[in-house]
Amino acid sequence: MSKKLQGNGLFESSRMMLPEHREAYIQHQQHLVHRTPPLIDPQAEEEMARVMAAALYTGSAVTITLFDEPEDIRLTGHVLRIDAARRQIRFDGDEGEGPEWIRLDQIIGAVAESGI
Amino acid sequence: MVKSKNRVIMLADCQSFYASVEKVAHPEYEGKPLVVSGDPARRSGIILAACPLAKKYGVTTAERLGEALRKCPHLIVVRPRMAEYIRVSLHITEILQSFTDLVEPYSIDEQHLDVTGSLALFGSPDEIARRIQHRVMYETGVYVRVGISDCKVLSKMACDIYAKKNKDGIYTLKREELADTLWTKPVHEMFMVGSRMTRHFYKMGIHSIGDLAKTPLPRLTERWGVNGEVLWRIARGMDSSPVTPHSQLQQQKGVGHQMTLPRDYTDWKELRVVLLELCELVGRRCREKGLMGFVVSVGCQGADFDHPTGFSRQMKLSDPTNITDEIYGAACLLFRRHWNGLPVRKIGVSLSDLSPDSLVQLTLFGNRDRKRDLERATDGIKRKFGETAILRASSLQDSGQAQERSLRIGGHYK
Repeated sequence: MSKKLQGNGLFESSRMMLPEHREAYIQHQQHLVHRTPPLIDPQAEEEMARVMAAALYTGSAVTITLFDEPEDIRLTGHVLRIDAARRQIRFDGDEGEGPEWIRLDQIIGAVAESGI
Repeated sequence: MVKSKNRVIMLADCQSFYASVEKVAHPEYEGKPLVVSGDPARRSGIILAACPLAKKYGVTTAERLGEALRKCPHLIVVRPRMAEYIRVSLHITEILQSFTDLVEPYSIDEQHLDVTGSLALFGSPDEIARRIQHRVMYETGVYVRVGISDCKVLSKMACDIYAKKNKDGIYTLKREELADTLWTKPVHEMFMVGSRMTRHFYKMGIHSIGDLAKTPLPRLTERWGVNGEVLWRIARGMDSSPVTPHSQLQQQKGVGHQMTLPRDYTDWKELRVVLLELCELVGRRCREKGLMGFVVSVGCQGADFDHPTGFSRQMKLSDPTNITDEIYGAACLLFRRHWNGLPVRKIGVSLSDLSPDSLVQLTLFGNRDRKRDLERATDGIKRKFGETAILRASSLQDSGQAQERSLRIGGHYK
């Protein structure tokens, strides 16, 4: 049987949409779905800890990725303090908004800027 | 075929969409006839939308601006802002999604919704339709008409044939009453029937939609095959298409871009500039989506549609890619091999047979890592500072279109 006679074929084949509209619609739909934070492998966690510790001691810049809705946030800046007991770090972003506390469980990636 | 439980399907259609959006944005034009036209400076530009007032003067969509101005000299002409129309259209999608999750856009100004499961929450179909009308008007200033029935094609015709013409802008087309309603209407008003099909039907003695519904199916299929059956089913209201937000809209088979050139290009030196720009657009979109493609296709067309010239060819690469240079390499190869040297007016490049780019096979030759790093940097600059923040030097030549193109959506101004 032809595609036009089954499923949503008739409307799929006659739909008129600008590619830009289509893109925007797909993005809109993706924002409706709640994202789940990724599971971090213990080794990756260790690596992130190492990168942040190194950044703290050498004072070099790091880029950290924070899990957030609707999309991840990437921040570049300096680690000022690591509070292991409260599981958070004091982070000073390059955007100039002043230092802030960031929870460790929100961080899903850390890359040393000088390492690239 | 038809589900046992009756569905409640609606089609929400925006009245003179582009023109309505502009009227809301420019309150000073209230009560004046307004049209949105491709390029207001050129009288040969085309009318994209006309407000109801302008339509009263006989202005129609798709006619030339010069003609419209002759009919109505004090017409207000606005140039299109496509990005804004897309934004408003999605805002309306969002409003519809507050009534049901089953919303499916059919075009920029028409969307289907299935409210079967929402009746207990929001009341009767008529009530829901009125609330939709009210909220869309309140939040966007656009008047929507709603056709209601139990399947998509009937809701479409309920809207086009009835709701657009009545006072409330809402109409319910009942399946039991088709014989007294839809079937008495002339066949040219039916969904999917154009002027050519109408002429064919007239020659067969089919004048009303009812005539078509009562025509034995083989008479239609032996002449038009599947399309004959499609039309016959529409006339009878046989349609089981679901309203689905996960339609093919979301799966992507290929990424392609094409453009119509401002004049004929006859020189390979000019053509390769636009070819590279297209490959850049295609590559960048793929990289943004995390996709790679295996097959590169290139097509071109001459300016004279009565004497079509040009070609459309594709080739498979040795490895899937989303690197501009590699797409461009294949596109050039195809173009040089198949282009016969005749003037080109329209040119397109696409990449298909897509796969995620999270896994890549290492190649022995070429320096893919360097190219990938370079493109990551240029993509980042474009994302942050705009399409034309960084350009290939070749795009600065007279034949380059990148700067002009970045101002447009679907060939019209953003």
